Order: sequence, then structure tokens, then C-alpha cells
Amino acid sequence: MIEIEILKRRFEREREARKCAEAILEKKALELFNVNQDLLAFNGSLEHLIDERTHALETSQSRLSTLISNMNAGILLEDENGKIVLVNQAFCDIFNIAVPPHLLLGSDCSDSLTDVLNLFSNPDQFGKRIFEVLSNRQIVSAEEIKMVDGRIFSRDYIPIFIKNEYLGHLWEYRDVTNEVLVQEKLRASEDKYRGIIENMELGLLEVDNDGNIVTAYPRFCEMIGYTQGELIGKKAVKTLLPKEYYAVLNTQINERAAGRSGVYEVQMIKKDGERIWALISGVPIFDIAGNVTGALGIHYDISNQKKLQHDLEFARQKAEAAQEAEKQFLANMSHEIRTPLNAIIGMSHLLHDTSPSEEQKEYLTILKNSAEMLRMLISDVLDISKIRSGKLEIQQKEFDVVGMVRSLAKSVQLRLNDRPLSIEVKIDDRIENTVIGDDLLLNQILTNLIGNAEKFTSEGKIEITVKIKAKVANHFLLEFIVADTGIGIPEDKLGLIFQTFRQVDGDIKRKFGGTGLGLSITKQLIELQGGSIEVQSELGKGSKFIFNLPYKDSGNKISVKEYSVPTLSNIQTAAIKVLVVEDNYMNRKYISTLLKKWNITYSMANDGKEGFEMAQKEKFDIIFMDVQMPVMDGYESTIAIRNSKNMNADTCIIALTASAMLSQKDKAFQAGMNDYLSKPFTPDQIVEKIQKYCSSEKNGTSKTEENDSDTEGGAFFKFNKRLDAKLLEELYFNDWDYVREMFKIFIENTVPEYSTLQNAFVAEDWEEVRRLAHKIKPTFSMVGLSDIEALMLELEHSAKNRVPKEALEEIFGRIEAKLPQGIEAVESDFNKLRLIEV
Amino acid sequence: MKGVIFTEFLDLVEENFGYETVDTIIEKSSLSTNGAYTAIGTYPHSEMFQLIGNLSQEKNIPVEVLLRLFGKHVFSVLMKSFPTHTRHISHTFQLLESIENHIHVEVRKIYPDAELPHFQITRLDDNTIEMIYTSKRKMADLAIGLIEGCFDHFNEKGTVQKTNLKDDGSEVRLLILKK
Repeated sequence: MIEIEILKRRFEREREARKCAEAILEKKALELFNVNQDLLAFNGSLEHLIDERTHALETSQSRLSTLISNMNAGILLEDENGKIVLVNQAFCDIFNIAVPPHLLLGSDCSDSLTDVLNLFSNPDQFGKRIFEVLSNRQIVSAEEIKMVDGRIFSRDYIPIFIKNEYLGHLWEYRDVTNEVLVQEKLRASEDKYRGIIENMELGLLEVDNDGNIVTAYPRFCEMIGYTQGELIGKKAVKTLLPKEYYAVLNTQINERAAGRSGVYEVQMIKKDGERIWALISGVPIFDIAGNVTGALGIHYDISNQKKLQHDLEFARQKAEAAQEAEKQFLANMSHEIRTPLNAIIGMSHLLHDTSPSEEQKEYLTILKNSAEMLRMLISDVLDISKIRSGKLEIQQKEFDVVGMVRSLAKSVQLRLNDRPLSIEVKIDDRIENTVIGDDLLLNQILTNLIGNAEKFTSEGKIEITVKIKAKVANHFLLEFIVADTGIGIPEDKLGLIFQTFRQVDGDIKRKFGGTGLGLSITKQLIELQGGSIEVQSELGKGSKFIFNLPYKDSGNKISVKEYSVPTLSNIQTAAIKVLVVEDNYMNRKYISTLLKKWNITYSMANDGKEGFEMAQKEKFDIIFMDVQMPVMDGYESTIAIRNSKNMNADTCIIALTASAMLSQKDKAFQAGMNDYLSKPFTPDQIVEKIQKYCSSEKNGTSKTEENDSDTEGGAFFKFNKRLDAKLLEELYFNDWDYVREMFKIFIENTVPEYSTLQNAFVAEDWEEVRRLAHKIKPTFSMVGLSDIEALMLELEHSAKNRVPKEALEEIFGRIEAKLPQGIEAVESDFNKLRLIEV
Repeated sequence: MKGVIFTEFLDLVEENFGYETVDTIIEKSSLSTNGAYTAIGTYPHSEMFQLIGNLSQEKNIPVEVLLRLFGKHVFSVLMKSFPTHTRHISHTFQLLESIENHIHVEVRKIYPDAELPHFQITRLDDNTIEMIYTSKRKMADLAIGLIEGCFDHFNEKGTVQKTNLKDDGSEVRLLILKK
């Protein structure tokens, strides 16, 4: 029973298991079916895709083969075994193959090669070349092939490699008969024009981008003397050009490379070494793509023209030199004339003082007037020629317009003296600053106009007005009016007065003299500076000259000091006693002249010892002491004065040092000096020291010293450019007599002393060189040669320190090089100053 | 747990002890299927523990021994069932070393829901492999049986020493020595 139960349960379990398995399997089967359905669907779409692709491929293939069959070029595609894969009708036509292209597929080309060989002008060469190309397996393009019947083909060969595996090749034959013919025609036409150019004596030369000669045409060869063979392949520049023109050519080569043409002139060297001048027109040569492949030069031999040009230039220079000589002659002559003229005028003055008879007096007056007129005429002529030749330079420097007008008026007033004529000045008080412009020209303009007014006005007044007419930013337009109460000018003559050599009438000329140049010069001077002038006049009542000139505002306030010499207003100068201890003659002269001018009593000592001796005899208020002197120097002398019982033990001593060197200053203070002045010093500085150190009880009534002649003369003379004009102005304040005196001393003393120095240098007497250099050194800045003074100082120090001879020679060489010009400038200015002496 | 394990187990029990024993352990266990297993099904592994536990009691043979014996048997069955997957394997160590990276990968392809034990294999020398068994099924002895079956399959001789790393047997160190 139990067994039956077990069996029943087993059966039941197995049945259950089977059912369960069946259920699982059924589920799996359904899953499988679904997956299978999906796969089928996928397969279907895949097939469709393949169909589409196959179709597209077929279309593209058919397109390609249609294209190839319809191409004008003959195409032959062979596989790696030489079997035809593709061939078109054009190919068959070219080689006269009667078989239709599609029947040729698969056949071997080499079989039929012999059949077509006789079509080529050179069958052997064609066969050989085919073999060569096939074995090389390299791209060949545009090989020209000539046929017996006159056709010309361009052949391309393209080997086909896929992943380095050779898979056959493609031949392409293109009929280029027409192109070649056209090209030949072109070449013929080019040759024709080249021939024409050649016949025009234009030499053509073609070079590549590296400057190598590619072609040299016959006319060029003829021009340059080489044969074509000698030139081709040579560097054009190296072979044909002198070195000095390499730079010109380089510029041109760069232009060509940039695709630009150009025309230039160079010299060229012929084969025989002779030089010719060539005018070259260079053009770049382009390829079809527009790249520059070289250049073509068209050469024209202009040697004859150049010679002519040179001759002309030479002639022009000669003519100019002659003109220059003429001007120089005129200038020289004017000076030459002025010198005796000055003598005549001076002598006629002197003759006046020799109690001549009335008759003689009258002759003398005529003589004097004629000479004056002659002098005026000459200076006017000189001015006119200067303006005309454009030599007049307009200076731009700072000056005080107000001061100038006032001092001009003052000098006129002095001149008017007892005439019933007064001069008045009206100045716009808005003019507060100095201006920048040409003071000399303004002075000349005003002098001319005031001179005229003075001449034509017997009584009444002359009125000078200056006002600001316009002001823009820092520029002024100043209006000047010179009005008089003179005879006036008739209305119909107003237009004439500014014309050269024109006066109102002959009567005026007789009555008043003058060259008739004055107003013309004035007008030109004004216009040169960008100004204008006009005149208003009423006959018998007076004239009014109105002009305006542009100036720049300097931004500096007008200082009262300008145009005045330093004064010792607060010092009872006569009560002051000064001792000057100085070994240099020029410096002595310089200081003494100033002291004399200020009425200051002074004594002079030539060296420290003499100075000390004089200090023991007399009490001084101030001592000016040079520091470097022979016998006893300034320091020793000061120590002696300070440490001995004498009247000047407490007197102020001012050191005169050669330079502002600290060591010298310290030494001066240690020796007991109170202060120092560095050479070259100006009158101002001396005044300052005197005022500072002279005891106050001596300051008494104010005494102002004016010297009109100084300021008056100032504007008329200009120092030579070589000289330090600024320094000279500071030193002398336009006191021309003083300058003349100092220049004279320089020429008479320093110049000979310099020769002594030269001799000492040649003799290599360095101690003597040092001594002389020290001695004459300060005199150079006194004449405006400060640079030479610096060199002298260098020479002195070097000689003292016994530097090698070469170094001394170097310094001396510089002095030697500079000095002659300097001396010349001093002499020339001295001569000029002598001329204005009268 | 795959049904094939159950059917193989019950076949093995029947073969060794007769169907009466099979019936007894099924009847003693409380099974979702009432003991009707098909090789292609999937069943809770707790049922296997019940069956083995009851067999152990019935025949008085420790569970470990039963699991080893069963493992040895299952190995040969598995080798027959999946010949392509082990074609390239020629000896035991090679197979052991390919469990994680090859065999289990293939198993997951066929049974995506299989819950597999983790083996960390370290080759100590030419003849020794250390295997760390980790599984919440705690059936390291089944693994030992499988290894022994493997040695037999490749005609090799070897022993397996077992050390529990966790008392519940969820992490076990097996030292496999090839002779």
C-alpha cells in the first residue's frame, strides 16, 4: 500500500513537473517566435537598403562610364595585367580603331600596339616611351605627341595604386592641335614685337626669380658687348652692374617680386670695362596662375643724354658760381666803400672844428650830407639785395616790444633836442609779456618809419602807438602806428610810396634827400614776417603809417631790467674803494672798465704778492682776488692779508675762480675768502657782490646811471655765429666800445701768446704749456669762445698731470682744429665793430 | 536556484537510497512545488536546504558530506551541459582561475537572474591556490565538492582545506593543494 502511495505521489510529482516544464517551454517558444518576427523585419529592411545602395552604385557607375565615353579626351583604363578595363569612343577614334569600345574590354593592349605605331611621326620613340612609362609607374602629364597627319596630342599617364598595390593605370590622350597652333602664333607675334623693340635700339634682357639671365636679346648683347652664350645662366647684377648700383637694383628686384614694374637709371659695365648709362624699364613676368616667374628689362642706352645733362649741370654750376661771385663782390664792395666813406664823414666833422670860412663851412656841409646820403644809399641797396636773394632770415627770439619802442623813442627825442617837435608813445597796457619774433627787423622797420616822420615833419609831434589788434591762443597780432603832423602825401601818390626807387616827386628828393628805398624795404620786411602795412595821409596835415605783425606770446612777464645796464643805484659808489688782484690782462681790463663806468675808485695788482703789499698801504672796501697767479697765488695772498696786522685784515675778499669747481670753492673758504665768482662773470654778478659786501653806511643817495648808447646800439649788431652771443651779451650789455676794446686786447695779446704756447708744445716743454694754457685760458670766454676755454683747461690739467704725450696731442689737436675759426670770427666781428664806430 | 540542481539532487538521492527516501525528504519538507521540479525552472534555494537537511537526518550523514558528494556529482553534470564554455580549459587551476572572469560572466549571460557566490582567487605557488568563498547561501562544501569533481575530471589529484573566516560560513577560506 505504501509503495502504491509513493508511486502515486511520484507520478503526480512528475506530471506536475512536466506541466510546469511545458508551461515554461511554451512561454519560451512564444518569446522565440517574437524574436524571430523582429529578425525577419530587420532582414527585410536590410535587403531594401542593399537594393538602394546597389542601385546608387549602378547609377554612379553608369554616369561615370557615360562621362568617360562622351569625353573628348581618349581614355584607356588597363588593369595590372594590361587588360582593358575601360575605353571610350574618343580613344578608338584617335587611334583609328574600328571595333566598338565595349568589345575591346578584356583584350590586351600590347597586342594592338604595333597596329597603331605608324600613326605617330616618330613610332620608335613612341614605343620606347610607352615601355619606359609603363615600367616607371609614375605620373606623366602633358607629354606632347605628334602624329603623322599633323595632329598633336597631350598625353597623361596615371598609375593606380590602392594601399601600395599596383592595380593598373589610366591613359588619357587629348587633342591639343589647336592650342599648340595658337601658342605658336602667339610666339610668332611676340617675336615680331620683340623684333620691333630690338629695332628700336631697346635691349631686352630676361631674368628668373634668382636673377639668372634666361634670355638676352641681340640688341642687348650688342649694347653690352657680350654674346648671348656668355650671358645666359649668369647672375645679371654681378655680371653687368657696378657695385654702387646694387642697392638700386635690390629695390627694383623687390618691386618686381611684388609684381610691380618700374623705371630707373643705372650705369652698366660693358664686356670691355667701359661704362654706359642705361634707362631701364623693368616689368615682372607672370605665369598663368599670376605668380611672378622672373623679370624683363628693357634697356635704353642714355650715355649721350647723360653726358649732355652733365655738361648742362656743369654749365649751370659755373653760372651759379659766377652769380655768387657777383653777390660776394657786391657785398665786399659795399664794405670797401663804407670804410673810406666813414673816413670822409669823420674828417668832415673834424674839419668843422678847424674854424673854416663860411664858404668852406658850406662846402663841408654839402660834403657831409652827400657822404651821409651815399652811406644810406649803400645800406639800402644792401638790404634790398639781401631781401631779394632770400637771404634774410627771420629770427624767433624772445624780446620786449614795449622796451624797444620806448628806447627808440627816447633816442629820437635826444636827437630832436631843440627842434619844435615832440615824440609821444602810447602803449596798450594789455601787453604784459615779452613776445617771440624778430626784434632786429622790427627795430629796422620802426627806425625807418620814425626816420621818415622826423624828416617830413618840421613842427608838431610824432606819435607811436602799439596795441593788440587780435589775440588767438598764444599768438598776438600787434598793430603799430607811426603818425606825424608833417607835410603829408598827395592822394594820387599814395599808391607809389611803397614802390622801389619811387618818391612822391623830384622836388621832395631835392628837398629831403633819401634813396626812395626806405619804404619799399619797410614794406618788404613787414610782409616777410607775415604782416601788412598801409598809409593814410592828408596833404599838409600829416601822415599815418599803420602796420601789423604777428608775434607769439612768450608767457614771460616783461622785466624792467631788460634793455638797461646794471646800476649801482643804492650805493654811494664814489666812496667805495676796490682792489683787484688779477694777473690776466683781459680780465683786469674787463673789471676796470666796469668799475670806471660805475665811477668806482679801484687799484690793480698783478699778482698775490703785489696785492698783499697794496693791502698793507691802503684800506679797501672789497677785494676781488684771482686764485691762480704767479709769484703768490690768491689763497696765499688771502692768508697773508688775514693773518698780518694791516688795514684790510677784515676786508671782504671775493675769489675769482676759473670754474665753479667745489674743490676751489672749499679751498677759497678755508683760506679765509668770503665768497667767490666763477669766470666768466657778468657785470650783474660784480654789482651783486659789491652791494652785498660793502658796508651799509656808505649807501647814500640814489644814483642811477643810464647809458642810452648801449641800448640803442644793441639791436644793430649781431655776433658771428661761432661766438657765444648770449654770454657776450651778458658780459657787455651791448656796450660796443667795450666789446671792441676786449676783442682788440684778445687779438693783440692772446693770439701772440697762443703762438708761444704752440712753440712750447712743439718743444715738449709741458710746464710751459701748462703755465701758458692757464694764463690765456680765461681770455677765450671773454670773446665768446667758451668751448676753447674748456679745452685749454683740459690741456692745463693734462699737462700738469703729465699724461702721455698722445693724450696731450689729442687735446691740442682739438684746440688747433677749432681755434683758427674762432680767431677769424673774433677778427671779423672786431672789424665790423670798427665800422659802426663812426 | 536552478531547477537542474534540484532534479540532479533528487536523481542522485534516488540512485543511492531509492525513491522511498526521495519521497520521505520531500514529504518532510514544506515545498512550494510539492517536490515537482523541472530542470528548466527556477526555485527558492531554501527548498534545497530543507531537502538536504532532511536527507542528513534521515540517513544520519552530515550535511557537509552530502554537499561535497553532491558538488562532485554536479560538476560532471555541468561539464556535460556546457561543453563549449570549458573547451579551452585543460586543468583544475586554470578552471578555478577563470571562474570569476570567464565562467560567471557566461553564466550571467544565460541566467541573468542567477545569484552567484563570489570567489577571490590567489595563486600562492605553482601547486597552491587560496580561494576566499563569499556567499549568503553558505554552501562552501558544495564548492569543495565541485573542486574535487574538477580534479577528477582532469584526472588530477588534490586536496582542499577549509577554514571559516566567519562563523556562519558566509565567508570561508579554501586552500587548494595540487599533488
